Amino acid sequence: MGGPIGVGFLGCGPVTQAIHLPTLATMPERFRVARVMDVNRDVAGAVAARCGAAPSVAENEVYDDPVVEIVVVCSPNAAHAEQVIASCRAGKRVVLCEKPLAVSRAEGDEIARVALETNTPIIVGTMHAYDPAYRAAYAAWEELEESASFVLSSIYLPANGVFINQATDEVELAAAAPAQGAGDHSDPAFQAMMIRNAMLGLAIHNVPLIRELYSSVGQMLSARFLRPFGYALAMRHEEQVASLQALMPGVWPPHWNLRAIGRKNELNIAFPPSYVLAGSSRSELIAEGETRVFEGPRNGYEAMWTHVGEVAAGAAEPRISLDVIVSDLGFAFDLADGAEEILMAKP
Amino acid sequence: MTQKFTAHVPKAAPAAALHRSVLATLPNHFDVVGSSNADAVLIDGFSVERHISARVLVLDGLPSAALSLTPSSIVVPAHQFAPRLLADKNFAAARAIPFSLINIEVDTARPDDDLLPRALLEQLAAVRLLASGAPRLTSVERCGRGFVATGTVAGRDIWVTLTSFPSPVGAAKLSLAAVSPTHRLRVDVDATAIARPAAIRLLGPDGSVEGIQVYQNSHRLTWLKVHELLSSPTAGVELSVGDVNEDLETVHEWLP
Repeated sequence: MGGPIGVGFLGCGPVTQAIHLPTLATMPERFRVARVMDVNRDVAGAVAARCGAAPSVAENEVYDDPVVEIVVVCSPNAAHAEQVIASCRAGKRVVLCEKPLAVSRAEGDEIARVALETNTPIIVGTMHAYDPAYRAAYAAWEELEESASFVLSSIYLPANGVFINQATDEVELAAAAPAQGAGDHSDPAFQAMMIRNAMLGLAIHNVPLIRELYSSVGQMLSARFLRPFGYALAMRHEEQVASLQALMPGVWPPHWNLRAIGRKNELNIAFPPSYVLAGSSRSELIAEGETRVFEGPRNGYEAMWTHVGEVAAGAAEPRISLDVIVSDLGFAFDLADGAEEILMAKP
Repeated sequence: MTQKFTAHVPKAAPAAALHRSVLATLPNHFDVVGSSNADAVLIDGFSVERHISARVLVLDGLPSAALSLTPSSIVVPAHQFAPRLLADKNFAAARAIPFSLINIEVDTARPDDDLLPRALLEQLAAVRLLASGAPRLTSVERCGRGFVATGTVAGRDIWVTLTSFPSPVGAAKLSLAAVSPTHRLRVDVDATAIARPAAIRLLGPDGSVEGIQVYQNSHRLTWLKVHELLSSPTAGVELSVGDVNEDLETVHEWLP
């Protein structure tokens, strides 16, 4: 086996700095950050200096660098599709794209087409889908041949900065990020747009997990935008009901839970917040009156990167197939479309 | 010295055994009598008129129509969960907070459709107590063996989601999450054990506040409330007959 695999980043914002670089720092034998690109030259330089990588302000330098075998797309959402496709065409071994994979269904389809054409494995950074405790609990749930009657995803989070600042010293920028939720909150079109943003930015984290329990959006029953940034959606598909709720930022401790009630069994998953390597979820499977608890020291980010390494080495196929990745994205759009229909129909 | 009153629990009442076991732990407060001519009478929703002379009626059931009572009548609903919420200091503190979202899940003890209206009634009471306003449902969708309901609270910018499904393990319980940017309330009431304390945490900028837990079930708290109403002329009820009737009407409208 060779040395560490070269990794290149497109975008050096908080996700790169607070999530991926600290995670990769725990796996120096497997990965080496070879090149980091950011449109802000100072940021690229500062981040590169931290991890011993070469800085770039041009995307092409990442695609053209033969040392870079894994491309990590951490740029603004609107750039994801173009950069994933370019990485595929550059012949990279694996592309890890932060969620969402794309900002339209057409972009998702185009990524799938190019990934198939170039035989490039695509992995989306939905870290909870790799959380070892969740995976173990879900495997046990599947063994019971259980299906969910009711699924509840509830996400109540403090501001991201609370956790970013605990995960790393972020490169200081002069410009502040635009405030979330500025606009006319009474305007249904604004509410629909905010929910769409929330589906692609927040709900998307759990979409692969929700879809393992509740496969299709079906009929949207209710949708509400919650200020300053959140949502409450309820939907039904055949004999299943799902409820998705989120609110942020708050000044209380985080809550990131997934609950599924089946006929005879129940799943309760409590995930740690994003950014920090705080171990796995605490996953409970209540079956036949007994509670099995799954919990461990490894976080979803760590498990995801281990998987990326295995796929890059040709030792494994992506755990989440390309078809599923694209249909997960479609599910997020279905959520946003269903919510928009309800909000815009209100008198 | 505690003043004693008489309580009547009809043998035919569905939850008679539970109420009797609870009253057995309040021997200084009540004498359980066989006659319906008592200070307080347990009613199941179908026998109100027969017991109109009682000073307090404890309602443990789901009347098929609104209660028709004189203005001086006092009705105390024997909810499974609400009294435990009211007994908690964190819940009391949370009642002043303008939440954005209230989500309540009630797991019923059995996969029995008859339990769903009662579950909704419990949820409506909890919303009413927490939000200090009347729940206004905009949809209730029956699905499989449960339901999902959504709505608001009259005069408040609060979104309400209520769901109820049978517990896979036969454990009747209520889980409540109320969220605003400044506070988050988390309630878990497991009604399987007679005195398992409710876990009620109010989370805010100063962290979590948790007091000494209450090791009493809702019915004991209800009967203590009945005693307070009988012994103190200034004692009031949290849910008026009008509130109860309004919630009953909502239940019958959406889950006929």
